[in-house]
Amino acid sequence: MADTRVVPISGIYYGLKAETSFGVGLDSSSNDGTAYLTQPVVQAQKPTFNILRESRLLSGRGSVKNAADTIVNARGGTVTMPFDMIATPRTLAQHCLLVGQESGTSGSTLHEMEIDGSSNSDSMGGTISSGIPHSCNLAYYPTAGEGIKVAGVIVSDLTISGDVAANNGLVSISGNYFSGFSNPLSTSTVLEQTFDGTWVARESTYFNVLDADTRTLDVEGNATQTFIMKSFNFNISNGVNRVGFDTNGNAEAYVFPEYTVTGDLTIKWDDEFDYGAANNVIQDFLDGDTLSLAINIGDGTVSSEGECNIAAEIQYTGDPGQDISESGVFHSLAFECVQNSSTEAFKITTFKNEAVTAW
Amino acid sequence: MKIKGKISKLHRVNPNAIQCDVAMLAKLKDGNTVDIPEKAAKELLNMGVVEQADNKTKEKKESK
Repeated sequence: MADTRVVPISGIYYGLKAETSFGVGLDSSSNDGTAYLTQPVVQAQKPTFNILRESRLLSGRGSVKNAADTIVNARGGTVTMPFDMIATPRTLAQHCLLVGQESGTSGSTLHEMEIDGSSNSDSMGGTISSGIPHSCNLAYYPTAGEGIKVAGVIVSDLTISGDVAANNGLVSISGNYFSGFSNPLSTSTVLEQTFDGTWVARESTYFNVLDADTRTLDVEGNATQTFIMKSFNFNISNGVNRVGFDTNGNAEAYVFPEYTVTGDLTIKWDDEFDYGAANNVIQDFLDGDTLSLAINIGDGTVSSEGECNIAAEIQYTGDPGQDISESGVFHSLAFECVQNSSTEAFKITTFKNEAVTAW
Repeated sequence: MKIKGKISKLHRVNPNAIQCDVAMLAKLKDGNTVDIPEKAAKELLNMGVVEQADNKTKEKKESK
């Protein structure tokens, strides 16, 4: 008789926990007792093993492939997994760190990640000190004995987005996890794992763009004009590549050749952002102007959960488009972030009263 | 433990997810000081939405 077991998607969850040694499992016993940080996703996606499988029709085999001629090699591959969640103080700060590989903390409460061309790691794979560089064990858990632990996990690309008309304005993050540890072995990436630690609960505080007290952008001759925002998103990518192989064929290092931050911003056409003299968004594009953008969720002090400051130096990458609705015409501004002298291309500051080492 | 609410911060707190009853939370939102169990107070302090209030009790002067 067929088995009647059903696995509801909501029964599967996953967690992260920072590594102390690159690519090494935090608890390599069959019952992993690590206190993973549960991630607040609606649906946990399965990690995908991207390994070599060569299926060949060899000469002399006739007109069908032979079972013996297939080559499978788990060494030298990658493991990836998408994620999408409403951002919470810890998840936003940690995922920014996982993609930017840079952290500045004030005490243990303010977490700052900036993309500035010099502070971000060019590579990782050596010693981890106080959670930097930052890689995680990822625990994907449907049920006992069926879990997947992925070691050496970072974020290859992260999108931070907020839209007054989506999720009631709550900021969300999405992107992809990346690991160069594709060959399962007991001390690293593992299949058929049981996780029996007491996982850290999901948080219940969020970021809301409707809470953004400061929304300013330079335009032509006027600095820090206040805009009425419809939506924004920032896409941060580090271009990670796995490099080398250890005795098990797993990565010896990750290399980050280029950090890119692109995005778009949709703001209202009004007297501060129009097609007229001194406030002309088209002229900014044609002139290649570098403009300061600030979005502060909260009062700008970043002193409590649910507050964050985003600062970026942007250049428009295309002619400002139009977003037309019953709310009027809005400018749709596609941009990329650039280092502007000593001002960071992108900087995000969040509040979470935890040290990076607690993640 | 006595804590004082920070105005313009507490609206971000999900009332269903903290160990503070609704009446106390309402007072905190108005910036008032309340006396609530230590565990709940510390949770709110960690979130940065309240500040610790003076927990000293005033000693009464003895009448001579």
